[in-house]
Amino acid sequence: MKLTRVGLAGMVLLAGGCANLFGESAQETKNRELALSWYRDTIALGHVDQASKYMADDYIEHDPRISGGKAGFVRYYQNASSRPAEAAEITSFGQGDYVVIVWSRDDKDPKTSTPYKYTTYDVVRIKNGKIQEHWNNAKQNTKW
Amino acid sequence: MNILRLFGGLTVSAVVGPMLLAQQHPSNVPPIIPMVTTYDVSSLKYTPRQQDHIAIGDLFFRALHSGHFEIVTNLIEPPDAVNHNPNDPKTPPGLMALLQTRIPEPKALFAEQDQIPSLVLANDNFVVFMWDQKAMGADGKEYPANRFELMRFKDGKIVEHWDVANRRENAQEWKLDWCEKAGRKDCPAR
Repeated sequence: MKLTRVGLAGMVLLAGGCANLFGESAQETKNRELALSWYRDTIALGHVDQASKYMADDYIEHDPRISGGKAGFVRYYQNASSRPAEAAEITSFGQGDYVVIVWSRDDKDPKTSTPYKYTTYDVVRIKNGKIQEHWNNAKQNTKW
Repeated sequence: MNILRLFGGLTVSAVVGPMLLAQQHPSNVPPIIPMVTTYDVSSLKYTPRQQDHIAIGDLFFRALHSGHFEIVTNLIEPPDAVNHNPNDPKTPPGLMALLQTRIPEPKALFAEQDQIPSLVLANDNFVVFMWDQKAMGADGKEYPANRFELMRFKDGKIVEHWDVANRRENAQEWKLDWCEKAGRKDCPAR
């Protein structure tokens, strides 16, 4: 039987506990998928009613624009003007309890209107299958 | 091969011939991560390849910001390496030329405590560094914020680098002015 590289990788994944093509364990892949779903549903789309599905009750937020843990997160992202514009993923991966997502965002130079790209980061720590802690590169006056 | 002393007395081999590094690491090497953190990082385990990348990335920042450009040159893959920053030249040589205008003489390589990351995450090809820093609010008071850098590695060298600059919060017109006046071909479009 001839195995393609993708097919072989799939078999490795099925073996369980082995690293995937990105060097992640099965648990790290699961964590990454959780983080991406959380970001999409609650931050990008503003479905903050799903916050408890993803986030721990004692969630810790490091974004300096948001205070008050999970409740503060919900208050902030239920406001449409707080939510970020669509972005392309540069990379994401899980390592241990952490997941990092790096985004490429489009903007225009405020003086010349020339389009340019810039990069933003989200890191989460996952505990007991929930988002426990979140960091990003936001400042108090960040709008994206 | 240079032997460099990192934090807490740990020693790591780095620079010249980084592809050799992974082969030189025994499988039971303890983590060599220059990280000072209050976060729970007990779940993080790094492969020898990842440790090499982290050590190279850490050295890259330190050498770049202390004016040791000869070291930086050894850590990147010419000629295709890309610097993703909307204010800076797009190539590492351009970035180094820019910084050389600010750092004409090399400074101590490991004196900059601000460069110690609070979290380092890696997979086979990428490393992300996170630092805990202070930012200044509109009220003049400092508050905690985070800075990040991402690197992509190929064959043990840095081929891409991303940071967090944009043109609204931290537009740096002087960089664009300098690049154009220097007649460089790697300037970002205004």
